[in-house]
Amino acid sequence: MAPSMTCDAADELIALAALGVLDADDGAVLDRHIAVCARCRANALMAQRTAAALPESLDLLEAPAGLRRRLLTAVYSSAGPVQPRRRTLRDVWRGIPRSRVLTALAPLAIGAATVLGVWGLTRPVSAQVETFPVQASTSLPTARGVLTFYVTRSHSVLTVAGVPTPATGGQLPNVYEIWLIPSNGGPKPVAFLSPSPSGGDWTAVVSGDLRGYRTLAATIEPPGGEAKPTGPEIFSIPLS
Amino acid sequence: MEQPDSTTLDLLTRESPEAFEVIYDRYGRLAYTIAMRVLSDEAAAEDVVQESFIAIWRRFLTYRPERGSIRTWICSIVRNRAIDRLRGESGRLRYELALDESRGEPSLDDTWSQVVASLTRERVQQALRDLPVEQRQTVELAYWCGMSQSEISQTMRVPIGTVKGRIRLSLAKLRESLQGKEEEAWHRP
Repeated sequence: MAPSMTCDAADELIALAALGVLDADDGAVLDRHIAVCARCRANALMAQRTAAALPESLDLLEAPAGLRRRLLTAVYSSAGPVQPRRRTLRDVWRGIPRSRVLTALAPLAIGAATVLGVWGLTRPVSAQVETFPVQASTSLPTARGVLTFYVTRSHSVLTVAGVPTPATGGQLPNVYEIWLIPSNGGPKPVAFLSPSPSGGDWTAVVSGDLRGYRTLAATIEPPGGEAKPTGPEIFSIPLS
Repeated sequence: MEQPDSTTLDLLTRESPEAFEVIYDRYGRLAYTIAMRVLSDEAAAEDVVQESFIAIWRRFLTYRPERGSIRTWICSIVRNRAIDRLRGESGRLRYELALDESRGEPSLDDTWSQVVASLTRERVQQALRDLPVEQRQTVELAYWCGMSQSEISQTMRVPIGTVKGRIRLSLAKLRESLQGKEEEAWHRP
C-alpha cells in the first residue's frame, strides 16, 4: 500500500499528535502513513519520547499523606490473595533440566516439592493471619468489625460497620483516626478510617508489625487529624 | 528515572497490593505534580491522582511495556484525566501516538536511550527556556492545558497554520536541545 500522505505533511501531524492536539480523523491518516513509512515511524517515536520528557521539567510537589492512605486502603481491601502467574508451555519447556544429572535428580526434587506444597496448603492459616474483633465503646455502641493482621506481610486491614459519617468540623468533616497503643508509651497515629466505595463499611490499612502493641483504638478528631488523641474513643481492639 | 524491576511489574499483573505500593511510592509525587500543573487546585489534583491510581490498579493488564515505560504510561493517564477534569470532558476520545518502542530505528534508539537515562529536571527546564517565548507558550497550552489547535489559535490570536508551525518547530528544537546536551555531556572533561 502506498503512503497516503507525504512525509512532510506527516511531520506536521506527528508533532501535533505528540503534544496531544491532533484530531482523530487526522490521526487515522497518520496511522496509515507511519504503518508503511519507516522514516516517519522513527520520527514519530522520537516525537513521542520528546513529549514524554516534558513532565520531567516539573519541580516535584509532596503528595498529601491522606491520599496514600486512602489509596492503599482501597487497594488492600479490594485485593484477594496474589494470583500465581499462569505457566505457559514455554515456561514448562524451560523448566525441563537439560543435563542427565539434573534429569536424574528431577524425581527427587518433584517429590520434595510435592511434600512442601502439601504442607504449605494444609498448615493452619492462623500461622500467617490473626484476627481481632472490634469492641464498641459506649460513645458508639453500634460499631462492629474486625482487624485482620497479615503477619508475613506486616500490615493489617481494619473493616468496621455501624459507623456514621462524622459531623462537620468547620468546613470539612471530622475524621476517625486510628491509634496503636504500645505496652509502654503513648498512642501512635497510624491511619484514618475511610468509607468503602460500596458504602456501609469503613476501612483502614495499618502498616507494620502489631506485635509489641497492646491496643488499637479509634477516636473522632478534627479535619486532618491530630498527633495525640483529643476526641472521644469510638471503639478499641485488644491485641493481646 | 529508574524503571521498577520486572518482579514488581509481574506482581502487579497478579494484583499484588505490595507491588502497587511500590509503584505509588515511586510515581505518586510525579503524578500529583502533573495533576497540580494542569489543575492548580489541590483537592481536584488529589481526586485525579486517586482516580488514576485506582484505574492503574484495576487495569494494569492493559499496560504494554513495548509501548513505553511505566512512568510514561502513568504520566499519560494522570495528564489525560487532569485535562478531562479541567475541561469537563470526562471520557473524551483523543488521538495518541501509540508506537511500539521495540520497532524503533536502532541508531536512534541507542542515542535516545542515552538521552533519556541522563535527563534531569534542570536540563529539560533549560531546553524549554531555550525555546522562543511564543513556541514555549504554544507547547504549554497544548500539553498542559489540553487546548485544541483552534483554541490555541484563538488564545494566541494567530492563524492555525502558525500554531502548527510553532508546535512542529518547538518539538524539533526540544529534541535537538536534549540530544545536544547529551553530546556536550559526553565531551565535557
